[in-house]
Amino acid sequence: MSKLENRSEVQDIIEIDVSQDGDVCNQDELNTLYQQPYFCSARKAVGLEKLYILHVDCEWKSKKLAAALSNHSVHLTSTDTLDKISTFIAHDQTIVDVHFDPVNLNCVLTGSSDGSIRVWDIRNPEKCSQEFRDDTDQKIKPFLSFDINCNGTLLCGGTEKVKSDTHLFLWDTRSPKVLAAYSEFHEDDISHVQFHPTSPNTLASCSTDCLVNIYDLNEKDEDDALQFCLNTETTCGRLQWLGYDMKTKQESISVTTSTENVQIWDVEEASPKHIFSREKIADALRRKKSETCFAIRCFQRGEGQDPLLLAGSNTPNRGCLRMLKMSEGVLEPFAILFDEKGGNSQTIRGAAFNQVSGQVVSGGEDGIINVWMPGEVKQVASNNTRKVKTEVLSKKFGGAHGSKKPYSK
Amino acid sequence: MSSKVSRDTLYEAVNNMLTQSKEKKRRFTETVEIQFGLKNYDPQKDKRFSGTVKLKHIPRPAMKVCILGDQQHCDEANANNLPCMDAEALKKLNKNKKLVKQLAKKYDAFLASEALIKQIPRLLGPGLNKAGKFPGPLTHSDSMVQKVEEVKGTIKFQMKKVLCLCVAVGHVKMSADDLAQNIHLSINFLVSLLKKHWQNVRSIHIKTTMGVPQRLY
Repeated sequence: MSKLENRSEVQDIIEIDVSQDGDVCNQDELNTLYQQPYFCSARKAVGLEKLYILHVDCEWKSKKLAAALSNHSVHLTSTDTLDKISTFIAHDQTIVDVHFDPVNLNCVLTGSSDGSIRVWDIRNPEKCSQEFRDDTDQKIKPFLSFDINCNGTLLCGGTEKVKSDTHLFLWDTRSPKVLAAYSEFHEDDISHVQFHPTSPNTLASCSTDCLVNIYDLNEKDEDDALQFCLNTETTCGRLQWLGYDMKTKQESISVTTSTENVQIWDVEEASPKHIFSREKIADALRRKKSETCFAIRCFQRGEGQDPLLLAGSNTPNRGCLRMLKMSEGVLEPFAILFDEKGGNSQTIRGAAFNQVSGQVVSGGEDGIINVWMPGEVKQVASNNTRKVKTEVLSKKFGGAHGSKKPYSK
Repeated sequence: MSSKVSRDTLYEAVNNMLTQSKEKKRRFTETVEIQFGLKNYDPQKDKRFSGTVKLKHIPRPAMKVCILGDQQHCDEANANNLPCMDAEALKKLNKNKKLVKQLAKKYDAFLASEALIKQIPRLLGPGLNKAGKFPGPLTHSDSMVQKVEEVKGTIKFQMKKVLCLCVAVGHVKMSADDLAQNIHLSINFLVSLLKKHWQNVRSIHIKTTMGVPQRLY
């Protein structure tokens, strides 16, 4: 009837075909591109029921892992063997994050949409040893994220938008009384908060209001605490402090958006220095379909080393989990995290990274935790012909060039 | 590959919607929105769903964008009939919360020169943050007019606790083609972000503010 000639611009809306999803190149080419070998040193399901692993944190020195599950419980294991140490129910609503206390290594903290942040002594986890709440009024403000600073003295919780307010609460860990409550800095859900890794009074928060805020908590006045405000122009999911950029002489931060993009910012600037779109990430991964690719975590590494992006695809039977190196605005293949026993399509929700050893821990919606170590596994037949012993090649993770320095590439 | 919403279904629904809206005149221009009903999704444990998307045709043409600019940007704003304020004008607000709130209310969005953006927390305090109107960056290599169009054409979507997502994608004074294109783009983009894509979609409707929902899927 009307404007038939323009109708050709709009096609039928069709299914996203993932039946042919996979890599754009063959295994040999992938192995050439992804130079850093990694192997799966341990793998365990957290239980027999269908549970999601929502968050993971590791205390590497004492080799402990805490996994927050979708049934509101925390699962504690060893990072080496994944043998269970204990399990306890932490809340009666969704656990939004889990963190080890960086100073009190026997303590693990959980935050929940029930409006509380609880401290648990892992030697005695039946009862929580301390609880932090908003004690300013009766209304429950569900947390979406929380963090504890590097010297264990400050705790911060970011909330959902409740009516028209969204809050950042601060506590001195020695007292359950709210130290400060900020409600002016964001206009929508605060999706993630993270303290600076070494500066105990520096905090960052990001929100679905598209902003990343950087705070100096030495300033007691709410109005003065906000140092920098970064407008990502899209809804933010997570942020990660990436360390000091030697080139630009500024602290840098990554922001993973809800649309699976990653933006890299120098905190004092007004626009991102690099943007990695979902398509760019899929290309770097060498995958066919960007619609099945997810940006999972950014990992900060040692001084002078480029940060890593953990990303993958959850297409059933055709998925992958890989790490890309983010160097100078270019994404390069870095390592493939391959689980021989299956589960390469797991939707990963939590991950942790050991900057010293290069170990990676991941957990996801299939309820499986994996520990990945840099290096290669060599199959060795033992005297008992039924058993096959696996021996780790002792060299460090220098890849094909056998360099002694970790991550020399 | 199987068609989820055929071109014909889309146009039929859009045309029905527009015809209905013309039949009953309203005192305002009705918004057109897409309503997604989701399934196989548990808000307690699945990842929260939100994002922004830039539409091809501006859904909110009356949106007021103000430029907070350096000298060059203010000149450019004036030349293009765009409201603007310079650093001096911002300093005059003297971090007064009431004045900043008034400024935030006056405009729907702000764009600011990069040098100026860095000063906003100090010049204005968190007032624009609270209003959800912190400015987007404007560089000297950007075309100001284009950037303003981009701001006007970008919509945000967010799913809270209910399995229903509503996205405003246009208004009833737009042509059927423009609406169809915006709807097409939005549906494809949103579905691409869902974990199981179309398996997470139970239904899709389009409707005008006061109209009856038209089913697409």
